[in-house]
Amino acid sequence: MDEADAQIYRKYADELVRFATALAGPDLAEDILADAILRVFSSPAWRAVRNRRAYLYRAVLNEATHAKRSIDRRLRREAAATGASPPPPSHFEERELIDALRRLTVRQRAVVYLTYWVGIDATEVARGLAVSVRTVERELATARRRLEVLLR
Amino acid sequence: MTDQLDTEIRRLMGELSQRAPLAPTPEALSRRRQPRPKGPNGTRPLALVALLVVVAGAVVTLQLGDDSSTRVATGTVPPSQASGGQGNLPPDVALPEPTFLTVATPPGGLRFIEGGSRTAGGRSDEIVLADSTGRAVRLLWNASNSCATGTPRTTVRGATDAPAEVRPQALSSDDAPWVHSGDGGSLRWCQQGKVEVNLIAMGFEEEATRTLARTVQLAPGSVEKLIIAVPPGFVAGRPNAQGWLYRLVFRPEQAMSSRPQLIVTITSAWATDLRLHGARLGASATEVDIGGRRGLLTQAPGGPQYQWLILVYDDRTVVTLQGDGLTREQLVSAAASLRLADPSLAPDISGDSGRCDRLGMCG
Repeated sequence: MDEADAQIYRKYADELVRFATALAGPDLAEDILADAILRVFSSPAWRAVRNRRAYLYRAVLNEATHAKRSIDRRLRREAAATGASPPPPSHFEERELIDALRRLTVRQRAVVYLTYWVGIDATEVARGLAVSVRTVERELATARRRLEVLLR
Repeated sequence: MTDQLDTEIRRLMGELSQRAPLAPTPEALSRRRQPRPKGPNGTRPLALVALLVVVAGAVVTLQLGDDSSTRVATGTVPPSQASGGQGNLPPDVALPEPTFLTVATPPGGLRFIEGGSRTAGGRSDEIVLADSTGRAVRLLWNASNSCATGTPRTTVRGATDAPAEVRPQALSSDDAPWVHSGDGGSLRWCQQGKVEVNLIAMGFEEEATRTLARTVQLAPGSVEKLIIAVPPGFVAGRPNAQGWLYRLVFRPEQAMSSRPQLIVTITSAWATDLRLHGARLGASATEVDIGGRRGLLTQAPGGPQYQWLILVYDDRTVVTLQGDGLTREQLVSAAASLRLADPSLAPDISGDSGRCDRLGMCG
C-alpha cells in the first residue's frame, strides 16, 4: 500500500468499519473491511476512480455479500457432510447481531444504514449502491416492514 | 408508529455502529497482503486463495458526497428525460467490477491463446430506451466527427461495418430518410450541424420514431451531449459507460490457424436487463437458459458461421461469447462451463498497441 492509498484509507477507515459492522456484525467487520480494501487497492482500475469514498463503500458491501454467500455455502457443505438438514441462511454471527437486523438481507442493511445513520436520501443511496431509486425504496420499505413487526 | 419506528431504527443503527471494532491500520493491512504461512497440510488459508482468483478491476464512481465526477450514467433512469451526462440523468453511477471468468471446457480442439483487459469506452455516446414489451430505441451520437463529411456507420442491427453512405446528411430528423428494417427502422441526421445522430427504433413505426426523434436536442450549454425524452413506460440506460473489459481468445491447438475460434469478452454490466441487450442485437436474438442464467443467442453480421451468445452472469457481469466457425450448441456448452478465474489471464493492455490490435480491443 503506497502512501497515497494509505492516506485515503486512513480518511475513511472509521466510517467504513462502521458500515461493515452494520452489514455483517462486529466479528466479521474487520476482515470484511480488510479484504475489501486489499482488493480495491490491487485493482488496476483503482487509479481511475474519481469518487473514492463511494467506491470503497461499494467494495465493502460487495465483500459483505460475498462473505455471507461463502458462509452459507460452508454451512450447506457441512450439513451435507454430516447428513444434517440444510441450515437456514446465515446471518453472520447471529449471536452478535441485534436480533431485528438478522432478518434483513445485506443490501437491506446497507440501505437502512445509509438512510438512517449516514442520513443520505434514496437517490444518493441508489447511486452509491448502483441500483435504481425504486429498488432502494422497495428495499427500505421491506426492511421497515420487517423491523416494524420485530420491534412491536 | 412511523416516527417511533424511525427513532427505533436510528437507535439500532447507532447501537450497532458503536459496536464496530477499530479499523485495522494501513500497516496491518499491508501485513495481510504478505503470503500467509502454509497450514499443516500444506494448504493456504482459503481467504487468500479466494483473493487471488477474484478479479479486482473496475472503474466505479459513486455519489456519496465526496468527489465530483464526470462519468456517464448507466442503468435505469426513472426521470422523464435521459441525457448524455447532464440534465436529469444522475451524472455519476457505479459500475460494479465484473466477475472475472474463463471457459473451463472450450469447444474441442481450442485452447486459451491470449487475453487482455482495458477500461471499456465506446467511440460513440449512446442511450438505450426499452420497455417491457420488447420495444427499444438506441440513440447514438458522435460529436467528434464532422457532420458535413461524417457518415454514421451503425446500421439498424447495430453492426459497425456497413458501407458508408455517400449522400449528404440530413440536417434535422424531419429531413432524415427513414430506413425501414424488421419491425422498426432508423433515422440519421446531423443535429444542429454539430453532432452526428443515429436513432434506431425497434417496435416503432416511422411516425412514432420521428415524434421521438424531434425530442432529441443538445443538452443546454453543451455541444456534445444529447438529451431525449423518455416515453412513458420506458427505461433508459447508457451502455458505453466506462467500465472494465476483459477479453480471452481461444484458438486451435495446432499451427497458426485462426478458425474456429472463440472470443470471450467480459464487461461491467451497464444493465443486466436482457431487453436492453436484445435491443442492441435486433429481433433475431433468441433467449436461452444457461444453467439457470439468461442469455441471448444471435447470428452476428457476416453469416451463420458467426454466432454470439450474450450471458448475464451475475448482477455485475455480462459475458459475450463470439464464435467463429462454432455452432450454437458449442457456444451454449462453452457458456455453461464459465468458471471464476485469475484475472492475470488478461493483463492490462492499455499500453500495448500490438496486443490491443491482436485482441481487437482498440476501437
